[in-house]
Amino acid sequence: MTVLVFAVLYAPLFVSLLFSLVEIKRGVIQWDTLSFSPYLTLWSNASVISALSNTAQVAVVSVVIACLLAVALALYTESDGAIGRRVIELVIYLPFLMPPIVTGLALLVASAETGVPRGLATIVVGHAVFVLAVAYRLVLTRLQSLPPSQVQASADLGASRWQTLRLVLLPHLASAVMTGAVLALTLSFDETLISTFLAGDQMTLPLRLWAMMRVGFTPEVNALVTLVLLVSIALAVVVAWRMKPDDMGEE
Amino acid sequence: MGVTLHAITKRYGTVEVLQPFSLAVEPGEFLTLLGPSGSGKTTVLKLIGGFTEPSGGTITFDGRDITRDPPNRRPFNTVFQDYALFPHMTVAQNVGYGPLVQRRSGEAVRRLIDETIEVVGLSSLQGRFPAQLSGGQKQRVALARAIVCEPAVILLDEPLAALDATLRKQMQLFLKAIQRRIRTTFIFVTHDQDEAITMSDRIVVMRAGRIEQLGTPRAVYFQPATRFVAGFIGENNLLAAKVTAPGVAETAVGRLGFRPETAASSGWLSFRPETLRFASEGIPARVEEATFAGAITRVTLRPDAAPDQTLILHLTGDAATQSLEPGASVHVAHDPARTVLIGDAP
Amino acid sequence: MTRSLTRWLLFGVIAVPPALFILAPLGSFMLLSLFHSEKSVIIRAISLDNYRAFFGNWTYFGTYLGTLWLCLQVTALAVVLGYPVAWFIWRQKGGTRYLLLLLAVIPLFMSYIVKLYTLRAILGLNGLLNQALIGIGVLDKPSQAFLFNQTAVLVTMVVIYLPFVILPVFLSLERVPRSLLLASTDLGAGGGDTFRRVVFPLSLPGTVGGALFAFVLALGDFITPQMVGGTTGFTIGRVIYSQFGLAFNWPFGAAMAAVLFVTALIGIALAGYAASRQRV
Repeated sequence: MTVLVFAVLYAPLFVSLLFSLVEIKRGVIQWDTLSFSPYLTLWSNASVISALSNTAQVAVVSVVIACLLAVALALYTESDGAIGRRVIELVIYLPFLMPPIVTGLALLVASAETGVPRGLATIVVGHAVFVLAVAYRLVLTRLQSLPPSQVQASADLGASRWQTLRLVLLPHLASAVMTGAVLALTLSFDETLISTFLAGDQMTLPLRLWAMMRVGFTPEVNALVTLVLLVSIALAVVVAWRMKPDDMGEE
Repeated sequence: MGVTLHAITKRYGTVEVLQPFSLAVEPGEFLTLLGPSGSGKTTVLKLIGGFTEPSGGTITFDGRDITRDPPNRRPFNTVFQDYALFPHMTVAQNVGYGPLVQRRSGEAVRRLIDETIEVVGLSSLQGRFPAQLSGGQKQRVALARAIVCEPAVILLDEPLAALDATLRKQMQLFLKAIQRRIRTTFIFVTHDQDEAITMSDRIVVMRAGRIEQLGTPRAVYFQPATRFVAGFIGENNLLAAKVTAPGVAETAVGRLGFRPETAASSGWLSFRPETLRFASEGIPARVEEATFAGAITRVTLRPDAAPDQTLILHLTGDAATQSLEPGASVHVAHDPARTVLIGDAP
Repeated sequence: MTRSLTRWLLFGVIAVPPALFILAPLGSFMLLSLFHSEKSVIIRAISLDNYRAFFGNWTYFGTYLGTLWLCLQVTALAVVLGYPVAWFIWRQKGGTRYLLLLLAVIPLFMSYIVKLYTLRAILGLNGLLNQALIGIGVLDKPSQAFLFNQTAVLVTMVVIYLPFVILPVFLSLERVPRSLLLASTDLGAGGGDTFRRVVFPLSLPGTVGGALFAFVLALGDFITPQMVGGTTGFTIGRVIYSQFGLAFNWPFGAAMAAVLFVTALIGIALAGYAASRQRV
């Protein structure tokens, strides 16, 4: 039964792979058209390339912002006597816990009210806000695993707070930040619902795919889809490999 | 009506955790498996309980071969080290779990459950959940849960390890009293030799998968069979010795008498620190250090004849008549009747 | 500067990004829901008209309730299918377990749009499902029944949200200490009893928590109904989306989204409560 469920969950991969290699005429598979050429002609499709580059830019920028904020916020909430810790955490987790439609709408309204035009910048904000929760959680867990005695020892040996931060805390967090970054990249890469509200003229890859989807099922589209899936899976494996010794199964 | 292990061996991969190990447990006794970590004592317990299978040998109960029986078919119950209480069930439900899954019900069973809860002194806490109980109380629930199944043997896996010193002493007495009362065989695993001496009818001292000695607490204490046992249980004095005449041996500190138990001609003389006393005649020595330790004062001495050897002497509080300054010259006398020879063996 | 003043300043500084980019937008959209729109112009006068229009009009309110019901079904199905899978993975040991878990989690990373796209291909008139059914003789010509209706939305959503349920269920199973399983066996319970009386009750809170989380995510999904729902597959998400598109009634859309927001908050709160009842 597990096999059946897995088969269903992985169907998208196999189906799109199949359809990228062959053509379908009126529901009948034309095996004689088997070829890898769609994978090659894909790269000359300008709209696809621009969508890809947009997605990459958005992903990198939003992840960097989210990771920086995550570290700052985690350090703050874990420090002694931090005010408003619970409130801040609630606000951080909110965009991740809410249906993306709400997050997207909220930012859309905000951008309209403040007169900020929709475009890549607004998408970046949308992604950063969404991904922050994940990065924050990973960094926080890692931070909490540092025995307080290490920070105390550092101070005891004469380090200033800045030095302790730089030489003890940040190195300890580095691995969590890396894992968080990769995870965040994967999430941003695929983010569709929030992006629909915040996109201007520039499209990200999922949005471009959505548009292409309404048109039809050419092998080229399927080739793109297969590639996207393979990249996602590769990223997922990287994340899983990184998280294996530490925490298993943390999202 | 006893559990017997016949030449049991256990291997994990290439590591032999238990060498051929045979043991006959007496029905109704409080038997302790004592040893350092890695000695295999917990493995023996798990083998008896059925949580792991032996690599070789058989286990019988009442003459019946139970080697392949799973835990739920053996008439034994285990008290786990972390108590393993079901957090979503009350004390009463935890204790009632065994009868429930064994499909035993009825008036007699209900009475048994109530009585068992009373025997362990938890009647007033029946409705509580494990999270609301203290360590000692959880322990008693775990015990009651095992007792209520009326097993032939109860297996206890270092159950007192998580308790603080005072509570531990209380629970030791409590367990011993319960065992006497219900007269079920208890097989108890610990690395704490005080605990073993206090509670057991017999002790199995183990090391590296082998039995070093099997005997009553007195036998193990006063007549250690090997150097390991002598050193593991309590503090001990050991001197290399060659027998010159029956009951007399030549050692580095001189000629000493001992109580001959075996025909060994050489080995180690073993005598406990409390069997030494200060005297006007005896082994000349210098006091190295005297440490007050509450019930006793522990004195380490260096014999004049063999200054690299250390002797340990225990004094009880008011017997400190001699000057105990470091460096003081004294004479110590040993008690031949309580000195034994451990034959040469690794 | 006194210590507590420094603390407040620090709080102020650190709170700016979350407040600015999360709270403020949420606030502004809740505020918008209280305005209304006339002929594409937003009148900034506070009133509850939008909410009255929503709750009073069965077209909208009914769709909302229908969506709640749909998402409950999706979640329930996901749990029914997902729990056994998680249980099976949990029963494996070592490397196999990790590998299977990895396989179960990877679909979470697979592109959402892609899943929709391929499911549409599978369910469609010329799709694989029809072809398979014709091939084995169940149908003699392709059926329209699989796509562009509410059932299609249901099936698609289950496929998409199933992985979101498998992981929390697995985690809650994993939290059951091994010694409890040993104790249960020791006391005479067979596999069935141990599962029924120990494993299942202890894994339930975590499972419910995970299910509620998937429920909240499914609530706001508007692309799925649009892609596979046709004209009969309508969710409140789609209705909200159209207010920001064709219908161009932002305040009204905001009001409905606010209702959705509150529903989601309740869902999250329930999930949190369920998780807190986890005793291990």
